[in-house]
Amino acid sequence: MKKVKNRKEKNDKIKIILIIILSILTLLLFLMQRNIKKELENFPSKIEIIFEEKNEMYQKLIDGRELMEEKYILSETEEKDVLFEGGNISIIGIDENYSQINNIEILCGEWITGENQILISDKFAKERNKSFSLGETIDIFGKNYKIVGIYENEKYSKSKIENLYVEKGDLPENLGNREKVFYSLEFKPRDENRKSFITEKFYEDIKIILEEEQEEIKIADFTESNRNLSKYYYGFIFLFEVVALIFITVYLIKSIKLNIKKYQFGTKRKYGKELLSENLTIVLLQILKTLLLIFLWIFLLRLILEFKLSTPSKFLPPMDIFDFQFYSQIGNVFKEEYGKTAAGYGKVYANLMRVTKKYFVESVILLITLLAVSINYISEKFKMAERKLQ
Amino acid sequence: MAKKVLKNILIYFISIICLFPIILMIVSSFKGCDEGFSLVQYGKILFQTEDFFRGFWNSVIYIFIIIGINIPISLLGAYGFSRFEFKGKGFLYWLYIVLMLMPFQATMVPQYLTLKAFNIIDSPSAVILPNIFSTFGTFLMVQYMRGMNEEIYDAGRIDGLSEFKLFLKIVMPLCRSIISALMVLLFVNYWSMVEQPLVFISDKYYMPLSATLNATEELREVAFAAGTIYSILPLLLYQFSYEDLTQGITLSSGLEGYEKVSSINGVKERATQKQKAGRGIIIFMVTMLSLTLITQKISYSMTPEVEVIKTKRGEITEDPFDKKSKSLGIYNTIVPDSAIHREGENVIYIITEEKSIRKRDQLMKINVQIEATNGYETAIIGVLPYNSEVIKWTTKPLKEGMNVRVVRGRGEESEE
Repeated sequence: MKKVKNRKEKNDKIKIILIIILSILTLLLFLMQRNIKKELENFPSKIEIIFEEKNEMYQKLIDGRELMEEKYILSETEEKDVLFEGGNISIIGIDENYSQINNIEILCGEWITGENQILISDKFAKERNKSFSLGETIDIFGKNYKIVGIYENEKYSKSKIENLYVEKGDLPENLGNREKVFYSLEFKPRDENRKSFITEKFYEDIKIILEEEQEEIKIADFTESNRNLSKYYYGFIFLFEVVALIFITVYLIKSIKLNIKKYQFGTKRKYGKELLSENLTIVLLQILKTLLLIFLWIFLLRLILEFKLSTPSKFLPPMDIFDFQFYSQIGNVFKEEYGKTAAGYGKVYANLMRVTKKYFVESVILLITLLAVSINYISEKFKMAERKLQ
Repeated sequence: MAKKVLKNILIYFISIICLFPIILMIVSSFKGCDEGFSLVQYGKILFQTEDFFRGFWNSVIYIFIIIGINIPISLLGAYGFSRFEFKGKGFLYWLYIVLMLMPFQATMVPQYLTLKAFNIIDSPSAVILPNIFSTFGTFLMVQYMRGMNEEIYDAGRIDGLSEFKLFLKIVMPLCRSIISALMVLLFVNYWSMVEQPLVFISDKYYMPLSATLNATEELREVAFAAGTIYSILPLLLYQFSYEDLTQGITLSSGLEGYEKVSSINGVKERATQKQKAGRGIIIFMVTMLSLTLITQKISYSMTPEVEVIKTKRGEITEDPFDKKSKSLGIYNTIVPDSAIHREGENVIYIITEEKSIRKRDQLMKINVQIEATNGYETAIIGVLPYNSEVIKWTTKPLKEGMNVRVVRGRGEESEE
C-alpha cells in the first residue's frame, strides 16, 4: 500500500513540475513577444523595389516621379556591397528623402549635407581594425570621406553587413571584383492608415505601369511587417488564456468531486445540518472560491471566443489549410521578396533574435521567483483548510 | 451442407447491400479532388468549416434539452397512468396513443400556427417545445411499469415512504434500463430530424446539423467526411447503452426471455466495455470542442480580405487619366476593370448580407456583359441590386456563397 501511495505521490509531483515548466515557458514566450512588438514599433513602414541594373522600368518609374510624389515619399538609392577592412560593408548612396522613410537615429554629429561626407554606424566606428571617430577622414578605395555623423546601429540592425551612407552622386567607383550593385526605389505612403492591398494600390496610384509590366517588378512590402510580427504577441496571449482555462476547468471539476466525496463521507456519521453548522466558515469559503473560479472561467471563455487570429490571409494557402505545396514554397517566396534588399527581412529576423536573447534571462528569473512564491503560498493555505475539514 | 453455404452467401450478400451506403460514405470521405486517397475533406471539415461545428453543437444542445426534459415528464406521466385510477384515464391514454401515431406531416400546419401564435417561430424553442412533450416516452414507460409487481409498492408503503418518495426511491431505480433504452431511441430520432427544423426555423444559425448537412454549398463539397463524423456519436452511444437497450426493450415487450448475466466475469467485461464507450464519448466531445475553437480561429484568418467599391455612373474616356480625351459614351454601371473576373464568361462578385442573425458578408456571383472598356474602367450590363458593392481586389480566389471580410478605410480615401 505504501509503495503505491509513494508512486502516486511521485507521479503527482512530476505532473506538477511539468505544469510549472510549461506555464513558465508560455509566459516567457509571451513576455519576449511583447518586447519584440515594442521594439518593432520603430521599424520603417515602406515598400521597396530593387533593380540590378538601371533598366527601362527603372527609368519609367523615375520619369513619373512627380505623379508618384503626390501620394508617396520617394527615395532613390544606390547600393554597393564590398569587402573593406576585413568585413562586408555596403555603401549606400542616398538622397534627401531617405531619412524621412527610414528611422535612423544619429548618436553624434549630423546628417550628410554635402559631398565627401559619410555617415557610419557606432559598431563600424568601434569594431574595425582601425577605430574611427567623428571628424576623421576615411579612405574607401581611393576616395576620401569626412565622417560627419555616427548612427545607432543596434536599434535597427544586427546584420553583419555594415551600412555606410554617402550622398547619391558621391559613391566611389571601381570597388574591385567582388562589387555588387543594386539600385532601389523606396516608397512610403503619405497616408499612414494603409493596411492591405499595398501593391495593387501602388499600381493604381502611379498609373504608369501597364498590367503586363507589373509581373516584371517585384515589390517588397514592409508596411505590414510590424503588424504581422505583433500578431505572434497576440497569439501568445491567446495561448496563455487557453492554458489557464484548462487548468481552471480541471481544478473546478476536481474540487467539486472532492467536496461531494467529503460530504458523503461526513453524512455517514452526522446529519447534514449538523455538518453544515460545524463547518460553516469552511463551507462558505469553499462556495466563495468556487464562485470566483466560475466567474473567472466564464470571463476567460469569453476572451477566448472573441479572440481573432487575424494573420493577413495572403500569407495562408488559398483554399485548403493542409496545402503542403504552398508551405514548401513559402521559404522561396520570402527569399525572393525580401532576400535581395539590404535593409530587408533578414534584419527584422536578426532583431527578433537579439530581443529574444536580451530578455530571456530577465524573464526567467522574474517568473521563477513569482511562481515559486505564489505556489508555495497557495499550497500552504489548501493544506491548512483540508486539515481543518478532516 | 450446400444449402447452408448458399444460405450464408445470401445473408452476406444482403447485408453487404444494406451496408453499402455506409461503406461508400466512408470510402468516399477519403477521396480528394483528383479521386485519389487524400485527407482534404477531413482537413476542410475539421479545421475550416465553422458552420459544421455550429450545426453539430446545435444538434447536441437540442438533444440534450429535449431528452433532459422529456424523460422526467414521461416518467411522471407513466407513473400516473400505471398507478392511479381517475376519471377519463382511458380516454387520456387513448389520446396519448393517437398523438403518438399521428405523423408529423399531418400536424405540421396546426403546429406551425400554434407556434406562430406563441411568437416562438424561427427560434430554437420552436423545435424544442413540441418535442419535449412527445408522448412516445410515456407510452413505452406505461407498458414497462404495468409489468411491475404491486407488492413492491406495498413494501415501500410499509417502510413509510410517501407517494413521491416511492416513485423516486423504488420506481426510478427499477426503470433504469428502460430510461437508457428510451434515451437511445430518442437520441436516434432527434439526431436525424430534418423536417421540423426546416419547417419551423428559417435561420441557418439555429439549424441542427441534420438539416444543414446537405443544404449549403460549403458543406456539400465535404459531405462524405461530414457524414462520417456525424455518425460517430450515435455509434458510441449505442456501444455505451447496448446492454440497457436490449434489456429495456425486451422487458417492455412483456417477454421474460432476458437472461440474467450468469458469470461475474461477464458482468465485469461488460462494465469495462461500458466504461470504455463512456470514455470514448467524453474524448469525442472534448475533441469536437477543441476543434470548434481551432476552426473558429482558422476560418477567420482563412477568410479572404476584399476591398469593395460602389458602382459608378458616368462617362468613360479613351485615356482613363485624361478626362479631355475621346469619349467612349455615358453608361449607367461602371466598375473598375480589376473587378471583372474573366472565367470563360465575364462575372463580377458583389457583397450581400447573409440571411441569418450573424449577418456575415457573403459573395454573390453575377454574369455581366461588357459594353465598353479603357483597360482601367469598364462599363457593364447586368442585373445588379441597387447600390451594390462590387469586389475590387481580393487576397484569395473567390467562389459564390463564400464568406469574406471587407477591408474598410479605402472609402474615405477615394472621396478626396
